[in-house]
Amino acid sequence: MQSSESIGLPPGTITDPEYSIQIGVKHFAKVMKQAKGDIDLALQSYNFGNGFIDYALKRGGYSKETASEFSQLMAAKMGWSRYGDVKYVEHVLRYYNGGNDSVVVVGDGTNRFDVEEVLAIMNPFLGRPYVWGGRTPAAGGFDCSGLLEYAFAQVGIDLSGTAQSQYDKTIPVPEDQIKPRDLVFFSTYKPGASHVGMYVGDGKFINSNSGDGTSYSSVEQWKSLYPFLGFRRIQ
Amino acid sequence: MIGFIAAAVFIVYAFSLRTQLQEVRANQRNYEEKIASLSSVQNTDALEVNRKFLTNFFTYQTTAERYKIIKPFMTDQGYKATHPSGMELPNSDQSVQSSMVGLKPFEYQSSKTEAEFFNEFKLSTEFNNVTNTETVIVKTSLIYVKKQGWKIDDVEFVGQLTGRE
Repeated sequence: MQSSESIGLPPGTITDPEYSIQIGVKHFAKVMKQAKGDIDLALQSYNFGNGFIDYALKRGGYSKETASEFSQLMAAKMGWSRYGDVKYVEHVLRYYNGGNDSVVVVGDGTNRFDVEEVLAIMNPFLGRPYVWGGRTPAAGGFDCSGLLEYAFAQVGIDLSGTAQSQYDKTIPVPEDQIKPRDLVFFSTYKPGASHVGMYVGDGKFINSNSGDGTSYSSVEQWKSLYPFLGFRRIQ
Repeated sequence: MIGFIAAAVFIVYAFSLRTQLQEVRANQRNYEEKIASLSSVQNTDALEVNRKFLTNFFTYQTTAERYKIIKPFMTDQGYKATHPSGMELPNSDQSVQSSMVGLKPFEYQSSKTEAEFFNEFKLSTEFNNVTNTETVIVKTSLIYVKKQGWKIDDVEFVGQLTGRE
């Protein structure tokens, strides 16, 4: 990892693996933000340093050619025979299966979660009753926002609050681009969001509702009952 | 002739003044009635309804009992706020019970007929013979309904102060 260099220390200064991972992840999140969510650019910048981000953006974004030019430029500037790994993006992405939704990078890349893991956290509670204000399993059941708040907290994502708060913490996704992991919102009794669930594919979402407790429901059926506020993605 | 016209104008003017005076008096009576009715709206009544609602909503032996006992305290919207996620009332064969103690209501009264409370209290929930206690904050919004008194018009779970897993 680029941990030591990212905080201005000589390579290899940090020897504690746990600390090294913490610093490395923090640095990667930072370059991911600077790269505006472009994973190729973020990865290459993780290797080259964040000076590559401006360089690439001024030249239309990341490409292998731009990476190669930057590497030659920096090598000449530093008096080195080579600079960085121009194939770093390729080398990292061979471990990433883009067709598998179980590993997802969205938005500015500061949050990642495995949708299967989140579902595995919720599934044991299927059949548990709806409990108003239920935010943890100790309450005997969940309310709609409580189910999501609890499950996402287990994977390090803060969705605390009401359905409306969760609506405010997410961004809209066009219906033709929805994926399992996106949240669905309905307005059930007053203006604004008052019901929420997580889309799981095949037109279904997992939620805790007053009739069935924690259960899978049909998006279309709920659309026919209540005003639909759309699909939204966790940043 | 001029004297006759002046007298006629004066009479018309006097009638017009009389009509205006009657309107002013009628308005005054309306305002007096409104003031009287609003004066009877006691803030302490809102506090009491808030306390009764919370005590009943958070102290129950069965879910069915929970929803039956709170109904008299609620407007239609307020009742829906207690089960906003679906058409049916929650019901369950599973044993979930709860009780509350130490209510501290913090009030904001936005008008003579609207009041909001941030309520802090200790909530104990028993499920599968395991009791969990945490301090929670619940927001209630009350409105004054003519001839019925204060009613709960909305209830929202704000958060926990302790016990978050």
